[in-house]
Amino acid sequence: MATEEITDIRRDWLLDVRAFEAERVINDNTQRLLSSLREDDLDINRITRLLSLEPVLSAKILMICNSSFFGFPRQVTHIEEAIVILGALKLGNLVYSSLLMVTPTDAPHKSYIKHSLMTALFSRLVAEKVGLRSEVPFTAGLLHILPVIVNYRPNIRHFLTGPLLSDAVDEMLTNFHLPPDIISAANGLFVPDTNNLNAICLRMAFNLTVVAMGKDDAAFGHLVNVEHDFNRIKLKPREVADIIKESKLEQEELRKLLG
Amino acid sequence: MKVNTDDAIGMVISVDIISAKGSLVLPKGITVNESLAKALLRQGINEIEAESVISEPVIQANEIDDAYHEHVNLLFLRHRGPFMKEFQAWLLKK
Repeated sequence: MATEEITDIRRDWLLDVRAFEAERVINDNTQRLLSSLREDDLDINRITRLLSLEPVLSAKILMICNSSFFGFPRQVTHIEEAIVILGALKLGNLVYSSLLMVTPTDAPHKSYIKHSLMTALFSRLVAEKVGLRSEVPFTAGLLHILPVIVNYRPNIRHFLTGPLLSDAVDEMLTNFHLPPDIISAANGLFVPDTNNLNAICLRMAFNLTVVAMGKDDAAFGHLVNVEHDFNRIKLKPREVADIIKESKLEQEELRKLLG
Repeated sequence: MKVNTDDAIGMVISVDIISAKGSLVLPKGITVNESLAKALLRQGINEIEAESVISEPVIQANEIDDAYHEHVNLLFLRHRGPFMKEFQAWLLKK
């Protein structure tokens, strides 16, 4: 393929991402639900009512939160229970996770979906090792390649570059009204940010995912250079590498979840 | 799965074949070959219950290890910093 042709494809794809309406991925009701979950005073009744309008989303939420991928201590059978037990941040992440549970177009598309979910899992585990009590790394892991998943093209792998993905992620997450700390963490994967701990967790998690998914399944064929990040988050390379071994069960559960 | 006897060559009989008189003709678990199919057809058994055998590729543990090592080493080719090298070493040890 000629260089000009690739440049055109990249430009067109980014234009599509810019024009991508949030409603195609997150409908009005789910947007309202996410806004409610971000409010300081959580209105359980309102959240329950909004969720009751979304039976598919509710079912997906119950399915995901009962898998050990999320690591909840007991079975959750009612959506009201999910709201109370999980709290707003985790429930918000469940909503985002369910958005990624789209029917894959083909095997590479499925790899990108799996990559996102596995990166979210590893981001949370890295954050735990760092002592970061935040859901931001997990959410950033879920959404760091959202434009690739929702605006998927079968040949996307051939024209995707770091800067293109960075622009796409920035624009899409901003259009979707995601909180700034999630956007900067997700974008920190592509534009290394020395001070952003959330982004460092994501960079480490990205690498763990590429390694753990294996040669035939990995959505990406390269690692992010995290040479200076080990010192920044005060973790030894061994501690990060061990996460793959320590999370075998969750990885297996994730594979089951995706079929 | 019920299949025509002459289409069952290479498949494994999944339910005992019983004659009209009620005696066992062939037990389940036998692979149907050409001569066996002919013999069954001669007895008027035109259909049998059989399943195709898809042999799972046998992957040895060391083959998995080799593929994993190759994958990790390839990913780290461009990363020569001491922390990245140490990271690679621990990933290979896991």
